Amino acid sequence: METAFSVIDLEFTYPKAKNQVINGISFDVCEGEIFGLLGPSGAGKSTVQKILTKLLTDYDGRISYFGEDLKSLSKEFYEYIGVGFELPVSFGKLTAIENLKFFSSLYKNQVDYNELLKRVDLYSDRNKKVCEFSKGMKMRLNFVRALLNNPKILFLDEVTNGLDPKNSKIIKDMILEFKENGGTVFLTTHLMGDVEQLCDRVAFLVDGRIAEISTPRELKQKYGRRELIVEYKEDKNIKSQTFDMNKLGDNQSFLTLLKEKHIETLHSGETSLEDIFIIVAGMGL
Amino acid sequence: MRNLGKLISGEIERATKYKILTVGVGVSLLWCIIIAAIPLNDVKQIVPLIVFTDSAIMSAILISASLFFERNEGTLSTLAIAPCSVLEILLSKIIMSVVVALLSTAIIFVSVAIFHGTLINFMLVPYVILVATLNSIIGVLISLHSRDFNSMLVNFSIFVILLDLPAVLASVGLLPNWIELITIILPSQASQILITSTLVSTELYQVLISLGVVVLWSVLLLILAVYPKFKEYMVKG
Repeated sequence: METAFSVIDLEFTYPKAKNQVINGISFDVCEGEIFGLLGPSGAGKSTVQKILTKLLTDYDGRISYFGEDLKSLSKEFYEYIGVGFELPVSFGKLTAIENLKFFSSLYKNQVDYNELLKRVDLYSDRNKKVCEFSKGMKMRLNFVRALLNNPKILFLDEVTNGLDPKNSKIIKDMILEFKENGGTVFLTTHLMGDVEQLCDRVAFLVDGRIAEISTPRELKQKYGRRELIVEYKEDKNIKSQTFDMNKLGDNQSFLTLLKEKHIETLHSGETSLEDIFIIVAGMGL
Repeated sequence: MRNLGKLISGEIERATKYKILTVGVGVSLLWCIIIAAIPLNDVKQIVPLIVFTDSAIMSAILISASLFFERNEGTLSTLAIAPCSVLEILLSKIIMSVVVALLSTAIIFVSVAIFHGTLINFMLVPYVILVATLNSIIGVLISLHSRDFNSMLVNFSIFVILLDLPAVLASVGLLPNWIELITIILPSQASQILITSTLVSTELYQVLISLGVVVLWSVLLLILAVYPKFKEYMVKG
């Protein structure tokens, strides 16, 4: 797999700001993977996305895009990327279809936006003004906007923000399909559910620094607790006991419990990514 | 400049949908009522002032208002990630503003002909283009330095007092000659002279200097003050 983005010692300070927002971070985003950047509000996630999409250019460090210096790339770069913003970004007085028609006309490569509208369940509202849309509808329109030019790389900022579970699943399925078709995704979010379901690799960003970077599975192996919680009935009451999963078959009290009690439930006490983030970053999301 | 035409066409569509065109035409129709009421003797003094106000001040206000709406809706950010240059985006907005100014001027031109039988010199068209361009650039500049709608209004007031008031006072003869001579370097006064020259006989050197001043201010403001800051403004949007 080729490296889509290579970021080395990236530092960034907003003009007139005293402190650096990004403090010397390094990471790679490989072609065809979903890379998640996870962190609390104000950690610098959106800033990193703005830098990678060339919206902020006055940074220190080196970023290359498929081997070429990002700073040297022309506006043609935007023909190959799609960006889904955290907040709605459509013309409110225009209909959904008028918005898409306008933005689509700016690209050489175009897709059938009617098909995309159908996929995100907005087709029947296509002739409605965007100012009449709910936040969830605007976010789905944002997502369609990001896919208008059939991009190679998709940048998504809090993509499921404001979506109900049904629409959230539709968007996540489309992201996975995009990846299956060879696309690369750079996802910034504070939602652990999105990361667990979508990301191949994840980086924890805390105060402008990367605190950890790995696959969700490896993070769970590294920081997770391997335990089994058994719920059983005793004297008409439900009780529970926790056992270490290592050498469980040799654990006599566990085996006795299985043999003598009426077992209600067995749960593997896997540590969630959220718990791992708290361990690594020393703070919650 | 591959996308300039598409951006302009988008601007025209939005000017219609956001009623910016309606406001521009509505203001021109109000001017028509005033023009109808002007005594014939005052036409040559007051009409240039109306055309100046419409093509200069209205251009600055309308482009600022449209930028304010776009920034609020976040659409400037999404334009920033489209394959268009910052110059293309800026030019499309300025050209849209010039189109509105030309439309308003046409309405005023027709009303002057109907009510007073006076024909304005056709040089008004290129002069309005230049004046509206300069003032649209000033409108963008004001937007770049305004945090919100209130600060935009305050900045406009400062702009009008500092730059437009001398032009207005000079046009009604309330300024001493020597001050009037210096004010020709002001964008507003140079704009005013160009517009007035289409109805009132004006010295050629004054027209030429005013032309130079309007073009120079436009180029300098665009290159030095507006263009370098516009992308930052779009990204914040």
